[in-house]
Amino acid sequence: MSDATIDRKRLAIAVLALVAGGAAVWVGSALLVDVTAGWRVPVILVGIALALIGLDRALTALLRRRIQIALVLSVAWLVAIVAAAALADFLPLSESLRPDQTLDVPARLRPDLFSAHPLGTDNQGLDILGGVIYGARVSLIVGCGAVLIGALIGGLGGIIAGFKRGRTESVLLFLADLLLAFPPLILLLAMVAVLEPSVRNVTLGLAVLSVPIYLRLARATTLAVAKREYVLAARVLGARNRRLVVSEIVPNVLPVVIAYSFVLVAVLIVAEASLSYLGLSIKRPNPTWGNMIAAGQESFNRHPHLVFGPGIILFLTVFALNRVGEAASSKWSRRRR
Amino acid sequence: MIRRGAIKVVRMIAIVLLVTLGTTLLLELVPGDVASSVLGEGATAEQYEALREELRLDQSIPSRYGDWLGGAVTGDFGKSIVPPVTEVGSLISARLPVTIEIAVLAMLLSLFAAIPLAMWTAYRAGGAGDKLVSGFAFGAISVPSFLSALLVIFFVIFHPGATKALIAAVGVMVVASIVVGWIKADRRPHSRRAWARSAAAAVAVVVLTVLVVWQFPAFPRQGFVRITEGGLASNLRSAFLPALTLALLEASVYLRVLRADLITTLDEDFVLSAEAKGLPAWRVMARHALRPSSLSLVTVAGVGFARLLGGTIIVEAVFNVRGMGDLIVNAIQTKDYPVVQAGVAVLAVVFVVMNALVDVTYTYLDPRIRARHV
Amino acid sequence: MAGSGTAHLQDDGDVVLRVEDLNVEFPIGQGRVVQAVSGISFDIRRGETVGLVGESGCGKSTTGRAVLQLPRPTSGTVTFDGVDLGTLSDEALRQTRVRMQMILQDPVSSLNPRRTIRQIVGEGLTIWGRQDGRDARIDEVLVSVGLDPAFVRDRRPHQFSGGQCQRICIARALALEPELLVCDEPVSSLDVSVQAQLLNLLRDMKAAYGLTVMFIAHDLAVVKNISDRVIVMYLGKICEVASADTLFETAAHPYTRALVDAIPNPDPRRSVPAVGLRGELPSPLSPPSGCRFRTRCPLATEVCAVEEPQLRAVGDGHFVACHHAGSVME
Repeated sequence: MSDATIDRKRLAIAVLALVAGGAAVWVGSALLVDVTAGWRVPVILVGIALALIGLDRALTALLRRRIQIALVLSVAWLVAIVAAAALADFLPLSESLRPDQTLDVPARLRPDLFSAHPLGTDNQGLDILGGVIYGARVSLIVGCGAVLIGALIGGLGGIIAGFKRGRTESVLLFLADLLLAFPPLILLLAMVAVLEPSVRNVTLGLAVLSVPIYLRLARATTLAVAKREYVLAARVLGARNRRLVVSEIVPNVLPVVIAYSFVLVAVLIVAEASLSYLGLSIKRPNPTWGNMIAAGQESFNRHPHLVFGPGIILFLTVFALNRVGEAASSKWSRRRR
Repeated sequence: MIRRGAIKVVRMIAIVLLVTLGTTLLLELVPGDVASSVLGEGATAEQYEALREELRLDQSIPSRYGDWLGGAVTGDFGKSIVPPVTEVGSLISARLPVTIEIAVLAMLLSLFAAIPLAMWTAYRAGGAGDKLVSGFAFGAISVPSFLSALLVIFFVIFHPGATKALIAAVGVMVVASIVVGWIKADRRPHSRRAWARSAAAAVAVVVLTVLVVWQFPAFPRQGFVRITEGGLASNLRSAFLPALTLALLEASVYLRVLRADLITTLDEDFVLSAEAKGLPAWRVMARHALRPSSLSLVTVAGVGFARLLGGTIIVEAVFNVRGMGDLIVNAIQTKDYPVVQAGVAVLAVVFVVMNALVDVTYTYLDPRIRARHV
Repeated sequence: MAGSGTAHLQDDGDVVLRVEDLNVEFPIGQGRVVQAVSGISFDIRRGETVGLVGESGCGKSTTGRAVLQLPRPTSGTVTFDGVDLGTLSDEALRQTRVRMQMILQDPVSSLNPRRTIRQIVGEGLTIWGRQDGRDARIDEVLVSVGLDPAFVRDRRPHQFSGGQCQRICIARALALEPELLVCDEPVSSLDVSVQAQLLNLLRDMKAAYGLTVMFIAHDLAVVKNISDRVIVMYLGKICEVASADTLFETAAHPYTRALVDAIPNPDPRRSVPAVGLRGELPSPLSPPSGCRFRTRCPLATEVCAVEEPQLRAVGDGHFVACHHAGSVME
C-alpha cells in the first residue's frame, strides 16, 4: 500500500467523521425539537466533537502535517469576538438593550441560527446575541484593562525587585504576599462591597488582584534572566543599570508576562462574570454575560438557551484564551532554553 | 529549623494582623458618608448617631481596629446593623462549618478522581483515553463555577434520565476498553495475575455503574441539611452537588498538574531503572513515580483551597446554601458592613493558616528541603 | 600550597595589570562566607598572555571577574595601567572597564536571544556613543573573527552554533578595541575540533589588536598552546607560576605535576602517571590549615599542616609554593 492510498483512506474516514458530526448537530438542534434538552444537548456535543476530530484529521491528511485545529479556531474566535465587541454599534443586531422597544417581540424565542434572533430572545424579548456582544464589550474591557494595569504596575515592581534585590525586594514581596493572603474572590467581593459597581471600579478591583501575581512572576523571571551571561556581558561593555533593564532584561521578561496575560485575562473574565452573576457588578439594563445568565436561570429548566447561550459564549472565550495562553507560554519558554 | 519555623509563625501573625486591618479600612473606601449611605434617606438623627456609634466611626482608625480586634479574639464581632439584628459571631459560627464542609468534600472528591486518572493518563500518555480525559480537563478549567453549577443542576436534577444514561455510557466504555485490552494482550505473554486483576476491575466497574444508575439518589435543587437536622445521609445529599460542581474544576487542575509531573518523572533514570528491574508498571507508578510528584500536588492543592473558598461563594449562591459566601454576598447587598468585615476577615485568616500548614507540610515532605535546614 | 607571597611579581617591563593580595568572599547566609579567592597576587605585562588554570571551584573565574570588579573584591588591589580600580567611583570604573573586555564560558547564554547580531556586536559602540562608522566597524570585526557580515548581521543568536556564537562574542569584545581581554573558559563548552579553531583565532586576534590576554581554563592542554606564562591555582591560592614549557617539563608542584600527568597522551609506551590525585576538592567554607593542598598531596608532611608555603623561585621565572617542591622535580 502506498502512502497515497493510506492518505486517501484516512481522508475518507475523516470526512465521514466530519459529516456524521455535522449530521448529529443538525439532528440534535433541528429535528429533535420535541425531545427534552437533556437528550438533545449530549447529541449536539458529541456531534461537535466528532466534527472537530473529523476536521482535524481531514486537514492533517490534506496538508500532510499536523495543525493544531483547536489553536487555530481559538485565535479565530478571539479575533471574531473582539471585532464584534468593537463594532457592536454598527452590526445589524436586533434590539438587545431597551425592553421598551421589544414589546411586540415574543419572549424566550428558541435559538434559530437563520432568523433575526440567532440565539433567541430573553425574558423581555431582548435579543440574546446582541446582549452577548455588548456583554463581550464589558468582559473584554474589564479583563484586558485590569491585566494591562496589573502587568504595568506588577511587572515594573517585579523587575525592580528582581534586579535591585535587597530591601526593595523584601518590601515589594511582602506587599505582594499580603495581597495574595486574601482569597482572590473574597478580596474582590470586599472591594465591590464598598465601591459602586461600574466598569471602572470593577476593572480597578481586578487590577488589584493581578498586581501581586505579575509582581511575583516578573520577579522570578527577572532573577532567572539577570543570571544569564549576556547581562554580565552588557555590563562589561559599559552598560548602565537603566540600559541593562531596558534592553537586556525587559525584552526577555516580556514574553513570559505576555504569555501569562492570556490566561489571566481568562481568569479575570470569569471573575467578572461571577461577580455580575451574583449581582455585584454591572447591573441591568447593561448586559454582561454574568447578569444575563443570572436572569435566565429562573426559567432555564424549560428555556435552557437563556443560560446556555451566553454560557457557551463565555466558555468559548475563556477556552480560547487558555488555549492561546498555553501555546504562547510553551513556545516562549522553549525559546528561553 | 526551629528558627525558620519561628520566622514563619511571626510572618503569619503579621499577615493575619495586616489582613484584618485591611478589612477595617474597608469602611474608609466607602464613597461619601458611610452611615447615611447605609440608612438611606429619611433616617432620624438618633438612628444616624446610633449607627455611627455601632460602626465606631467617631474613633480613630487605630482605636477602631484595636476595639474590633479585641472583640474578634473573644469571638465578639459586634452586631449586624441590618434587621434582624444578630450577633455577627453567632452568624459566622453557624455558617462557617457549612462552607468548610463543602470545600473539604470538594477537595476529597477531586483528589479521589484526579490521582488515579492522572496515573492512568500519564502511563498511557498520547493514547485515545489520555486525549479524551486531558481534553475534558482542559475544557473543564474553562468553565466558570456558576456555569458548571447550572450544568450540574440541569442534568442531574432536571434531566436525571440523561445523566444516568451518560454514567452508563461511561461505564460501558471503560469495560469495553478493558475487554479490548484483553483481546490485544492475547498476542503477548500475559500473567494470570494481571488477567485476574483486570477482570476484577471490569466487574467492579460494572457493579459500580449498575449501582449508581439503579440507586440514583434524588438530590435537592437547593438548600443545605445539617447533620444535626436530617442525619448524615441527607446532609451528604445536600452537600454533594455543590461539592461536585467545585470538584469538576478542581479535579481538572490537579489532573493536569499531576499528569504533567508524572510524565516528567516517568522519563527519569530512576524510574527507568525500576522498570528495568522488572517491577510491574503499577508498582513503578505508585512507589517510584507518584511520591516525587506528590510535592507539586500539595502545593497545587494548597492554592486550590483558595479557589475553593472563592468557589463556594458562587455555588452557595446557585444552590441556595446558607454558608459564608451567601452571608457575605447578602451583607454586601444590604450594606451590612460589620458582617462583611467579619466574614472577609474570618475567611482570610482561614486561608492564611491553611497556607502556612501547606508550607510546613511541604518542608516535611521534601527530604531535600528538610536536609537543608536541619 | 598556598600561594601567598609576591616573589613572582615583576618590577621590570611594562606591567599593565597588577593584582595584589586579592580576596573574594561570598556570604552564604547565617554569617558564613565562602572564601573563593584568598590573597593571590599576579601581574601581566603588556602584550603577554597569562593562563590561569585549576579545577572547577578553585576560584579562577572569580579571579577573572574580580579583575573587572564584577563584583568588587572583598580586599586587595587591582591596578590597571597604573590606576587602582578599587579607588574609582562607579562611573569612573565604568569608563575604565571598557578598556578591559571579557569572553565568557557559555557563548549561547552570553548573547541576548532577542537581539540581532548587529545590535549585539554594536552594543558597546552604541553605549559609548560611537555612532560614526558604526556599521562599518561592526562588519570589520565580524570579518576579522571569520564571519560573513552579510550573512550574520541580521540573524539572531539561536541560528548559530556554539563556536559561531563564541566568535560573535569575541567580535563584540573587540569592537571596543580593548587593551586587556579576560577569557573565562572560552572554549570549554565547545567541541574539541572547534576549540582548536577558536584558540587559533584568539592568537590571531591577539597579534592583530595587540591584546594582553588573561586566559582562564581548567584544561592545561588548552592553556599550554596559547600562554606565555601559566598560573596554577588550587582552592583560592596560587601553587605555581612558570612559562608554559617549563611547567610541562619540570613542574615543581605536586598538584601541577598531577595536572600535567592527567593530560591524555597518545603514546602507549609512556608510563602510568606517577602521582595521582586522591579525594575531592575540600570545601572552600573551611579550607585546610597550612598548605591547602595537603589533604590530597602524596608528599604531605606535618609541616604542611602548620605552615603555609610561600611562593619562592626555583628557576628562571619559575615560582612555586610548596615545602617539598624539590622532591617532585627529581
